[in-house]
Amino acid sequence: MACGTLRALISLAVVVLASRAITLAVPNANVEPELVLKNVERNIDLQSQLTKITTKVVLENGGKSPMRSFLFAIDDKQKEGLSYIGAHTREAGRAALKVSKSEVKEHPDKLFYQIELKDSLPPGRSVSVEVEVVSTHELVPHPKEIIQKEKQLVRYTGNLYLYSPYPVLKQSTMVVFPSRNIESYTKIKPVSQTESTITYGPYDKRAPFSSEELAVHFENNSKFLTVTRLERVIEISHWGNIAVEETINLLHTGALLKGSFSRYEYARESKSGEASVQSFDTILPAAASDVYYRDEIGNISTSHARIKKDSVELNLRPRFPLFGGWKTRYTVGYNVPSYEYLFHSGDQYTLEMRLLDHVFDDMVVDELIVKIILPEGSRDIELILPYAATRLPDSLHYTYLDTTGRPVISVTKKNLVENHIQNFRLRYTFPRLLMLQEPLLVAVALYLLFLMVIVYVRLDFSIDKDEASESKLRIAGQCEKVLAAQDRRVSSYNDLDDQLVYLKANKDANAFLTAVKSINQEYKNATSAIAELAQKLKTESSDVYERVMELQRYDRILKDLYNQQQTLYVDKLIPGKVGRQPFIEAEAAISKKKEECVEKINGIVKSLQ
Amino acid sequence: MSALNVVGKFWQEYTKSTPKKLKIIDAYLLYVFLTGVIQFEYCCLVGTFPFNSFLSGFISCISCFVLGVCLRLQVNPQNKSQFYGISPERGFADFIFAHIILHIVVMNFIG
Amino acid sequence: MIPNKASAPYTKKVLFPDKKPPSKQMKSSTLTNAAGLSSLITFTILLLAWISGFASRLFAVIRFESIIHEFDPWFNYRATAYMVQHGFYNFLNWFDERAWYPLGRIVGGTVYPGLMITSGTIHYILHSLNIPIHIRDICVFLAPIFSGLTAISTYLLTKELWSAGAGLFAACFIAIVPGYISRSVAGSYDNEGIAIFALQFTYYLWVKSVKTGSIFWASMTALSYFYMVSAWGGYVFIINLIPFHVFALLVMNRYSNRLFTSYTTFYILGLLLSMQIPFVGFQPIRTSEHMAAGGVFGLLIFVAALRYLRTVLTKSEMKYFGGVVAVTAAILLLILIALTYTGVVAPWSGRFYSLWDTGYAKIHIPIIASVSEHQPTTWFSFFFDLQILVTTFPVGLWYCIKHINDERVFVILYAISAVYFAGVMVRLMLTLTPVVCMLAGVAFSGLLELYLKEEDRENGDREGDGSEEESEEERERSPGRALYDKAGKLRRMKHERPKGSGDGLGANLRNGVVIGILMLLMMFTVHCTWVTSNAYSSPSIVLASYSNDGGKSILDDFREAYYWLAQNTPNDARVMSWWDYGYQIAGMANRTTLVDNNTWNNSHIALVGKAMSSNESAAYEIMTSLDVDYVLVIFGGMIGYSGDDVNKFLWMVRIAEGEHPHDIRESDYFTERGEFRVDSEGSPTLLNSLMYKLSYYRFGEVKIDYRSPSGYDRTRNAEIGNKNFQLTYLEEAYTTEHWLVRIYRVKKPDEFNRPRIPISERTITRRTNSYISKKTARRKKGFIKGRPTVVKGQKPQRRTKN
Repeated sequence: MACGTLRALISLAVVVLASRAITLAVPNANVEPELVLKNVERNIDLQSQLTKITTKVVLENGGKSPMRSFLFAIDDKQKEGLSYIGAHTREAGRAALKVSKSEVKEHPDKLFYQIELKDSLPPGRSVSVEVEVVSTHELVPHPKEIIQKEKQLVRYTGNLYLYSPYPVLKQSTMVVFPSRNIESYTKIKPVSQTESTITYGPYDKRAPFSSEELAVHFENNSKFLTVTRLERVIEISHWGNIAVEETINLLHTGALLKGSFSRYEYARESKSGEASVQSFDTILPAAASDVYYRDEIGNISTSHARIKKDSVELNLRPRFPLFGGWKTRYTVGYNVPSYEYLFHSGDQYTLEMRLLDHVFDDMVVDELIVKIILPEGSRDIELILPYAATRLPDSLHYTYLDTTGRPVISVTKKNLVENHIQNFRLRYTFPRLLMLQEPLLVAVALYLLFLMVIVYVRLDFSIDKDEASESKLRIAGQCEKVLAAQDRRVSSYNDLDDQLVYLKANKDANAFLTAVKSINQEYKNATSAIAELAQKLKTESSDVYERVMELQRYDRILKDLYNQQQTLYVDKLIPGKVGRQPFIEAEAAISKKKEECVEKINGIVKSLQ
Repeated sequence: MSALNVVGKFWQEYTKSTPKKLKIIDAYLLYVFLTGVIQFEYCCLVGTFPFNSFLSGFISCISCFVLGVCLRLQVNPQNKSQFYGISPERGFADFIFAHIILHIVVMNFIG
Repeated sequence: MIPNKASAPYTKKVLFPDKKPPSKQMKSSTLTNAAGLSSLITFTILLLAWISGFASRLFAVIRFESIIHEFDPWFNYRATAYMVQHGFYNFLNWFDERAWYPLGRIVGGTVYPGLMITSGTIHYILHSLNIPIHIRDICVFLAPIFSGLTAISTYLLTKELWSAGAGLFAACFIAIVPGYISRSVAGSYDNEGIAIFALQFTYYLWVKSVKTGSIFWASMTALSYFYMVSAWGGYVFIINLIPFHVFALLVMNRYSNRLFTSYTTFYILGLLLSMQIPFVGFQPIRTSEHMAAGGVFGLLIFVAALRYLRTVLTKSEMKYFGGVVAVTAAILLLILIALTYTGVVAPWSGRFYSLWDTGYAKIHIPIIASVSEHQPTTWFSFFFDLQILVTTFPVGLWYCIKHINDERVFVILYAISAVYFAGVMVRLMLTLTPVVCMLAGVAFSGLLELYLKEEDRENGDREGDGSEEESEEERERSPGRALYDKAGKLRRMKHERPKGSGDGLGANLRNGVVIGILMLLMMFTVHCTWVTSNAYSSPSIVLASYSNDGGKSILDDFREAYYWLAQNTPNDARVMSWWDYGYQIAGMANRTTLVDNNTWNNSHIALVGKAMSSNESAAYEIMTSLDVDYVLVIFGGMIGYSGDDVNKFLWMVRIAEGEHPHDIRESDYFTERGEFRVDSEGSPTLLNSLMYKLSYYRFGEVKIDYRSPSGYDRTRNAEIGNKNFQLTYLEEAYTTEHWLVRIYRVKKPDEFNRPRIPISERTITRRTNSYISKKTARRKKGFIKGRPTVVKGQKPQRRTKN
């Protein structure tokens, strides 16, 4: 669906360009002798720095056979600056006609363009066609240098007549100026001047290739700015963004500034520095966001954007006003969403964007370089240009998380004007799975990082056995074992306590004694284990050994206390040998001692930890 | 005379109470020391023309000496209490580490 | 700690069910996880300190843009960019012919390359990982990133000196303290940014090596010292402070074999390493600044030898050696003095003298005195930069003195010497800041330990035998909690502490004190943020002015002028300006300068000063002899910018007078009453000086508003005295929008030397001239062309070019 409209767009834009870079075989053509130009009206527009010549021709086929095309010749003088040529019919539709460069055998030194008519022209009939030619750098400042206060005067020299391979029956030329201040102009009658236009003619029949110099000298204070080099980088991300960055070298190609620049006069007197350029507007696509405007040394703070319905208008002010001969350089960049320019079906993608975008009105671009950076892994790249341009060798570009590099398509072309703002199309294949590559890469890198940390923490990298810490560790291990044994001992005490409470309640001495036997067994095991460990510790650390021995001592005391309690219960309480009051006192005394003992044991245990 | 006595007594004490390991280190120290003295004398006699070469040679001698003394201090069992956590092996590894740095720098400096 | 020991206390609970075991169990479980928990808290706090330190340094980037600030950073940036572009070896051999025209500058041998290597390495690593970050952004953000590393090394150092809790306090303080931020905001790409990290880290390693006596740590200290030497001239502070520490320990009779190993290893490796930096060269053995370290090295070896002998010999036998020692020491001292006199060992340098005598620089080296950051510090700036820390740090110092040990001697010396130096020079405030943070951290940690521990005991109703590890743990956690809140406070101004279930007066008092401390800390953070935002976050090449309605407008005149120079002057044009702007011109405009901020050649600067202070024709002679094409002056009179060249003018005069006392006299530039005035009462010498004329050219016609007369200078609030004058030898080439930067082109001799002839006549004479010569020249081709046209033929030819 999208493709259909695109194709229509492309076929509409039928333009061919005078470019020395073209190396294609140029078709040959003949000058049809029967063709006459009945009427020619030329309009030379000199209001800006460009020369825009619109030629309205009425063709008449005086021959026998119908004609499909006719030739349009370019003046020798105009050859240099010729930037754009296009033609369309003068009917309601103004349908564009195909224009192509061609050669004529009889005139090998001349430059011709063959314009194909929409319908073939039958004999005896006539048709009217409009040809538009835009040339650059044809207005020469004269004088070449002016001081700040002076106005900028330029001179234009051209041909008074249409330079045509066919005879012209009647023609007139109108020259349009930006102001009324015209210093001088060629006076070949009939000529008339009204306001800011000069009309020559009408003239009678002129032979083919007739020429007469037309020279005008007039005031032109419009922006004589040339983009000497424009580098446009389009970076496509399939995550939904297209980044565009344009690096622009500007040169003021008007009359050079002579003498000093005075800020005082520039600021106070409005007439001062009329030919200088303080700011200009750049029109960006409507979807442009995150616009930045900077140069090598940082942001240029003097700019503001106006968002309009169908575009973003960016008012750019260079760091300093540009006078004749002054130059500057800056970078403008912005992002556009990719859904407006990138279309796909399956893995097949088509990018459609402007090859050249607007920099300022009536701009001149001497050299354009376009670089298109495709996502990593794009294949089968096919580029369709709206007009001929030189394709530079492809290269690779590396940016965040790239492994194999992104393909870069570069195109260059010289001498462009606004009429060249047209779309190109780029088809390529991109497997969508590759989009997962970069997140996976990050995940794997993080995973490896954590893994390394884990491995590093687990491994011991010391070169030699660190004896001190080693023995410390060993002691710690022994201590742990001691503590574990102590735990068992403690649990046996607990059991004993339980049993004692039980005994106190139901006075079953026999059951108690059997239970106590197993508890005592447990206790003995633990105690002997501790003693064993203590012997081992003796060699490692005398300090710890001391403490363990202390523990043993207190433990023995505690055990004695338990034994006392037990005997108290079994021997005195059960048989009732003792009264209530003495029993309670005795028990309290024992538990008090027990408490003290436990306190001490706890202290030692804590220190062993 | 008494000075001689003192030196003699010192020698006796030394041979008696020093472990063999330390004696090896001491021999090394003596060698380094003599090398340094020879270098210094050479430069006094001939001149210090490539000053950085002289410096790197001489300073590397001093550093070898100093590092050797340090190693000796760390290895000496009498000093064990002062160097907690530094075993002789560890001390030797550190010694090697410092020497690697030293010799890389000296090689760079000697030009 | 041993991980699985929970079982023992657990069973104890069963053992004595009637003895409040829950508290015990709780305590033990926290103890169990303490290692993990405390390291988590430590990690979190350090991370937060890093982030908040980083964030508070970004004011300038957010307000303006990611740009290099001030003056010196521009050179560092330029050098880094050169290194990244041309490689390290080319950088070391870089001869910069764009500076100090016509002398040039050997950059590789006259910079501390640590900064460039650091950011170059980061750039290299990132680019080999395909992360295309521009070197400028790396340079801009280097200092904030290193501030985080500084915080960590401060934490480590304080932990070694005192405790982990104090370390966390210190880390948080250093992350946001203005005294350090002033040198490390984003964009301030200067040596100090990384040097403070190197300084702290070296000290940490030093303390560590003194504690362990390990050769390894001492070698690491030497390596870190090497990094410091490569980064900043302030390494002299380290190489004097550490020997001082050793010396103090010796005097205090605290010699140990650990001290011997660490110092000797550090010194000898550090000496050798420091000589690897081309800029330092043989200084460590040639200049007096480094001699103390060598002396202490010798002394230490002597002491060690004596000690060794004492272990072997008896006391009476030692007498023989005592005499030997005294004699040798005396001989060594004499040799040193003799060497100093004969010039083998350079005496103290001038900058060093100015540290002892604050008036020295003013008399002898005006160029040092002319820099504002070399002025003595005012009391105000102590408080401004350190706020509450300046009052709490003596407390920490007192704690350290009370509980003295080897490494605390170090921090005491560090504090005392740094306080002295900071008092002498504003710039050295920077070395004081870390130690103040550390000691304030100790003080706060001590206070909170006292007041929070009691509360905890009350809460837990614990037995009084708070063991060692317990209090350690306490210390570590309680300040941690407080700090955590503090870091959060940057955004969340209010803070509420969970109150303990304390009862009675004691608890109230404690809570009061704790809240008071927290209030102080809160005020400190607010102050830090305020100072950072208002005082230290201006790039100084982009000025912001605020209108009455709060709108901000940016004055970008500096870059306007520099970019104009870069784009619209010939690539080899030579620009004369006062030395302050040399680095910026080289960095932004990429043009040749005569003098710049590396003030190594005083007489060259004096020559420029002379040109600026002479009248136009005398200045023209100097300018032509120096091949000057453009002259750049900073003029603030239009917008009231006070840091302009007219205000600096007296320093130019003074410096010029120092070298050319016959031509320039400072007194000529004052009025009879000794005032420096630019209005009609100003001295005629001043009103006709080049600087005056260049600043005020055509300014006399400007009327800023209707009330003031024309030519009213807003900076000096005066109507200028010399209004309608023309320039003969120069012409205005460019003036920025707010007149802040004015650039003049120096005319070639043919442009003003001859009377003005109308254009038509000039071309005619030239034609006849060349016709004649051509007629005669027909036969002798090529020979005549240059000759009979003589001088007259040459000049018009050049004119056609113009």
